[in-house]
This record gives sequence, C-alpha cells and structure tokens, in this order.
Amino acid sequence: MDEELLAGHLQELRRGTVVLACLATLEQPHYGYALLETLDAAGFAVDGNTLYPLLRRLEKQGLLTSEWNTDEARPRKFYRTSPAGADLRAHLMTQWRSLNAAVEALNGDK
Amino acid sequence: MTTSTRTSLTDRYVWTVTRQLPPESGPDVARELRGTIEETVEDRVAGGEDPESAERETILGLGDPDVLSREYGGRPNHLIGPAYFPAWVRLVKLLLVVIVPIAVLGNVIARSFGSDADFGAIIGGAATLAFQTAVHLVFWTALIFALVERNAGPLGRDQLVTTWNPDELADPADRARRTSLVEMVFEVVWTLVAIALCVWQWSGVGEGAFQVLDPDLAFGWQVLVVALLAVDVVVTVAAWARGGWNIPLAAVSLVSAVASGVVLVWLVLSEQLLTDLPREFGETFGVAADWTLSLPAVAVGIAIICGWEAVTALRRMRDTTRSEAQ
Repeated sequence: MDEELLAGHLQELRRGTVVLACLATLEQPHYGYALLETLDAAGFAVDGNTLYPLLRRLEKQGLLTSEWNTDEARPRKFYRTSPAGADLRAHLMTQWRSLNAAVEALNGDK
Repeated sequence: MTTSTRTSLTDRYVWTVTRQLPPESGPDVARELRGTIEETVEDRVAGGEDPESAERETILGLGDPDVLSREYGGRPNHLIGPAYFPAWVRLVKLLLVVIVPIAVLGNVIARSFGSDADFGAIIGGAATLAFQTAVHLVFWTALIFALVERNAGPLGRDQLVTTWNPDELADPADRARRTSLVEMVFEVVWTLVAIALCVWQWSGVGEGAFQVLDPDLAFGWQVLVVALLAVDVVVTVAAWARGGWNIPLAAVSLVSAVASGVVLVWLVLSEQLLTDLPREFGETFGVAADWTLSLPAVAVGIAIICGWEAVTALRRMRDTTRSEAQ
C-alpha cells in the first residue's frame, strides 16, 4: 500500500481522538510534556507541535483550566479538564461508542 | 561550554516561536515551551543520547518555528482559506472577464488618436495593459480577502460570503438552448443600423455631414462588408426562431466574425476603408485638425471586437455540443 496515502488517512482518522484523549486524561492534572508521554504510552501517538498548541486552544475554549506550579525547581504549567470539558468529553465518548458499534457492524457483514 | 550552546539554540527557537505572539500570551508560551524543550532534552540525555544532538533532535521534532507560532497564535497557515476561497475565485473571474477587455479596448481606442504608434507598439501596449490589469485585480482582491480572513469574525463572514443556494445553479444548456428575444432584437437592430450607416456613408454624405467611410471603396468590397453584416442578422434570427443555437448556425456566425475581422482589418490597413478623418472632421465642423488617427490602432480595435464575436460563437458551439452530449 502507498505509505503516504495510508499515513494521510490514518491522520484523518486519529485527528479527533486526540481531543477526546486529552479531555479524559486531564481529569488528573498534567503538564504538557507529561501528558505527551502519558498519551504516547496509552497508544495515542501525537506530536508535540500538535499537542502543545492544542492545549492552549482547548483552554481558550474553556474546556481546560491551567495553573502554573512553581513548587519545584522547574515551573510547570498544569492543565486540567474544566466542567465544560468534562461535559464535552461525555458527548464525544457517546459519539465514539456509537461510531465504534457502527464500524463493528460494518465488519460483521463481511 | 556545552551548556551555553544548548541554551542558546533553545533560546533562539523559543524566541522565534513567541516573538510574533501577542504580549498577553507570548511570555507565557515562551516559559512553557522552554520548560518542555528542556525536559524533553533531559529525558533523551537520560536515555543515553548526547546532549547536543538531543537538543537538536528535540527542536527538529517541534518543526518550523513559524508554523508552530501560527498554531499557538491561532493564525491561519494560508492566505485565503476554504471559507472565502470560492467567493474570491468567483469575484476574480468576474472582474477579469469584465474589466480586462474594457481596459484593453479603451487603451486601443485612445491610441487610435496618436499616429506615432505602430502595430507592434499597439499590440505590445495592449498586452502589457491586459497583464497589468489582471495582476492588479488578482493582487488587490487577494489582499482584501486575506485581511478579511484574518480579521473578520463569524459576523463578517456571513456578510461577505452569501450562503449558497441551489436556485443559483446555472443551466449549462441555457446559453445554447435559448437565444433570448432581447439578444435577438439587440443584435438585429444594431446590425441594421450599421448596414444603414454603411450604405449612407458609401453613397456620399454630401456637404455638412461627416464622411467617415471612404466612398471610393470598390463596390465589391462594399457589398461584401454589408453581406457579412446581413449574415449576422439572418443567423441570429434563425437561432431565435428555432429556439436555440446549433452547430451549423454557430459555425456560420463564427466564419462571419472571422471574415469580417480579416476584411475590415485589411481594408483599414490598405487605407481603403476610412477617409482622412482629421481633415474631413476639420472641413465638416470647421475645426482645425490638430489630431491624427493611427490606422494600426483602429485595426487592433476591430480585431478585438471581431475576436470577441468569434469567441462567443465558439462558446455557443461548445455549449451546444455539451448539452447534446448529456
């Protein structure tokens, strides 16, 4: 299969899942780099140059809140899902489940 | 030493990313991004990588700083995005089709009254003007749309980009199928007036009237010019009567346009068609002739008008073929 074609379609397929994964993971506060590692370990491959601006965007939309933690030697900006973000996450999750069921049903026909 | 080089590369990257961000978010992004880069580098070094290459790779992984900066600032990475692009293309097409021919024709008409211009200069001037006009149209509309893309909220979008409506769909067969009554009447009246003017001019207008066409033109040529004009009337009426253009009628109209153009241009250039206009003008109206007429410019003007007629005929042929193919 054409590698470039596959990569393009995979990217399309994954695009929305990063937001869902962020909103779910950030029920516990994380800072950018730790979130990247956590998502990576959880199977969501996402680039830093996508994730870090995305966190800012979600914060601007009121879906995340942030706070600088200066207790340690290196100050870190921690993000956390806001109530509005939790609400959106529930909606996205419902949608994801129904999509998953629909895709599974497609597969069952084969 | 390694430490100072490392700081400097990260510094440069962070500075490049954040320098164009607004003051309320720039420093905050810089602080976070610097921390993120340093932490990533430390992790890679802990994994056994050499510090210098770890920093290099980390920054390479984050990619072009200008792209990242636009991501942070929410600024578009394009000039005109999908929301405005179709509207822009529509506007540019419309402006090009309307304004470029008008500008070129106006230029040629204006140059008709200066005798020093030769053929090459007139065609070159017209081509340059067409190019410049097109470049200006494309540039300024693109600039305006790019500004709107960056500054208009959803409200401005609604005002600028009208919601698409199925009723606006053009019928590709329309142009071919119907010759509207208005088009037919306009064409017939205009051509009949032209024929009448030709006959009047060639029979000699006498004292007190402005002799534009040379009455000494050979009778055969006079008949040919009037006949070509008459063919246009006949073909247009025929197309209207049968309810639309077909290939033969459009072909006749094409041949008539090309033939008219060739004949008229040749007659103008061989100084058979027109009188010495400045002298005639002076004699008729009693004004001193302090202007001259450039025959090549007149010829180019005629060629443009006849060329336009020919293009119209070609489009009719194409539309007819298309609608029959469906």
